[in-house]
Amino acid sequence: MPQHAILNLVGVSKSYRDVEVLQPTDLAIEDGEFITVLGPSGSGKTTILRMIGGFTAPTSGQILFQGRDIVDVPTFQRPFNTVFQDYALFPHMRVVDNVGYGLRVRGVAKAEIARKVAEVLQIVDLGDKADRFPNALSGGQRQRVALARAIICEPKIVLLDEPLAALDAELRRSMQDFLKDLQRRIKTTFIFITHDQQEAISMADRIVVMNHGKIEQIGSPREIYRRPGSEFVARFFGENNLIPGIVEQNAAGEACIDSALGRVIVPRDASLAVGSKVVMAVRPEHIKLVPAGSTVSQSVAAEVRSVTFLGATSQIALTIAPQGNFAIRVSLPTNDFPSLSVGDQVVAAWAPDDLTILH
Amino acid sequence: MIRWSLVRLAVYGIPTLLILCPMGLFLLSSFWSMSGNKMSHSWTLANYRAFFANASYWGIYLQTIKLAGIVALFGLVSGYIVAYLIWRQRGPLRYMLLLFSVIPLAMNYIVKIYAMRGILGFNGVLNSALVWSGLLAKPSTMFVFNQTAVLIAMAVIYLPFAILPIFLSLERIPHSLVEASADLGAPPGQTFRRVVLPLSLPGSVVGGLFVMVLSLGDFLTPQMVGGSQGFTFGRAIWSQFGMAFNWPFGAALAVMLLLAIAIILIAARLLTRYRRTS
Ligand SMILES: Nc1ncnc2c1ncn2[C@@H]1O[C@H](COP(=O)(O)OP(=O)(O)OP(=O)(O)O)[C@@H](O)[C@H]1O
Ligand SMILES: [Mg+2]
Repeated sequence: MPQHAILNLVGVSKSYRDVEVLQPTDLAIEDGEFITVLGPSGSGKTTILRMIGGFTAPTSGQILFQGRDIVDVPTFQRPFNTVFQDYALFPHMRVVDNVGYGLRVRGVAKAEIARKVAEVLQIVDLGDKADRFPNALSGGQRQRVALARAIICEPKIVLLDEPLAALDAELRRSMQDFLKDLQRRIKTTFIFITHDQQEAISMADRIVVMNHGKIEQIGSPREIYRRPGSEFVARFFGENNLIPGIVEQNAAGEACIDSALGRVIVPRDASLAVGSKVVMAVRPEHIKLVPAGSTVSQSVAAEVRSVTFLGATSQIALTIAPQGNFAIRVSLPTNDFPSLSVGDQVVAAWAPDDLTILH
Repeated sequence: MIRWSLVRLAVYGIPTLLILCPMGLFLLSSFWSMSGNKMSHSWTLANYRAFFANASYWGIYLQTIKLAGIVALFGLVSGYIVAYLIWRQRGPLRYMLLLFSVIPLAMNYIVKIYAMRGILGFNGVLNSALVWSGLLAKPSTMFVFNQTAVLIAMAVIYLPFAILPIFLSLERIPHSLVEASADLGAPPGQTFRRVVLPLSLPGSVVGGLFVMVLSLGDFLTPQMVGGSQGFTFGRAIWSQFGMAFNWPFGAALAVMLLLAIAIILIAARLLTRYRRTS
């Protein structure tokens, strides 16, 4: 797996006139990793990718490829290839000519091009469409032509800007698997932009979460899921119950947080100043329901307000009893609770380790 | 239903009528003849026979087509260069330049021709410049009252008509294609040769043909800068209507010109048909 950084962004920023769309950003990308850049619309994902590809110049900072600054290297000399969101296939060229384009402009011999194109078309399963023009292909097929065209020159990094956004859900799934599989096979660094967190989780070795022109958090899908680094990440990345509270000290002198959930004991080492305001995040699937009257250390009495069947899981909305107006959501495997109906009294419990404290 | 059909009939019908009626009248009158000062409405092929029999009409016809072809070629090549340079600009400069290059379209035709006379004349700007630069010892009569003068004047006057369609056909190329080409390792020259040129060529050729059609029928420019040497088919037609008052023969000549234009337009149509876009 990842060995050493192939690409380093050092203080890279981008402004249009006086609007800073990317704040000075540092990012190290390891050789051979599948990295996804995740963020809402307008957060600067495409901007980062275009600067790596050389389509846009950064306002400041350095882009180091294998330690060398490539900011002044023109696009056509960078050893990266891009899969564009609109595919950008050449409409006047057949599939073979589109795919072979990168080799042709490098002056590779005809026979060699034909051999490689056939090989790559085999990989993307388009061997029988070689002589079609792009306008005679379906969206998924165009997608694969764009991919074939981008990998045929064996780039050091493949850049993908929401390549699956235009595909329907089923095709998307199979393309996700295909891409991931392909990346493992050719052992090439992929930088993959998406605004779909499910896609990011299922494909990435590491996820870069962006918001408002800056990186909010970088980590493996598991880390980001377990330990969101900010309220934004907690909200954007999967579902979370966000519970505001104030840091206090209990009788034993331990830090705890006074919140709608009652007094919550703080997990392990959180160094919190007494009196400071914090937000706790706990995922719906980490909350368990125990029968009313049970006494569990980390729990709160609640009333069932609604039950929504979602298939394998069900979503249960609870209101916390003493406050009466604070709602949390719980997600349970449908088979795990025989009968729950609106108005039932329950106790919601969680493990201290499943709480994340956000400052 | 009926009301809509009527509206549609009017929408398509009226312009068709306005265009086809005069043309039909032309076609009809080209089969008539003059007897004395009166038009005789009996059918005859005499006008066409006269055209094909008289080598000087034939000669002018072919020469004019050739002239218009050269003007179109000039419009295509230099129009492409200008349009391409404008297209390469970004930001406000781009549209400023485009505006400047098409402003002549809004200028009065006669003014433009007089301007060209001022440039091409014996004591004109072009001659002065050539003498001043030492390329010519004394002013040349090469640029005035001959076919060359007509050619240069038309080429300049019709250039904006080529620039606009060529610019539009460049503008239709998605920028991501240019980026994709660079991304795949093509230096700018190759991107131009392999992507930009092939994608913009059909539209540009249509622009050139447009210029050709315009210059085919032009009689004013040849009249004013061509003198007796710069006779063109447009002038031949004009003289039949305006001087000889032989309308049927003039109409037959006009029909021949129309035929040439129709062939050019069909060629343009075939060209655009084979253009592929996604
Ligand atoms: N050429 C430009 N001129 C001015 N502003 C720009 C330009 N290109 C991008 N921006 C701005 O930069 C910000 C970031 O854009 P970017 O395309 O990187 O967003 P994104 O994260 O890719 O969003 P999306 O998910 O919608 O594609 C946006 O606010 C956008 O309006
Ligand atoms: Mg984007």
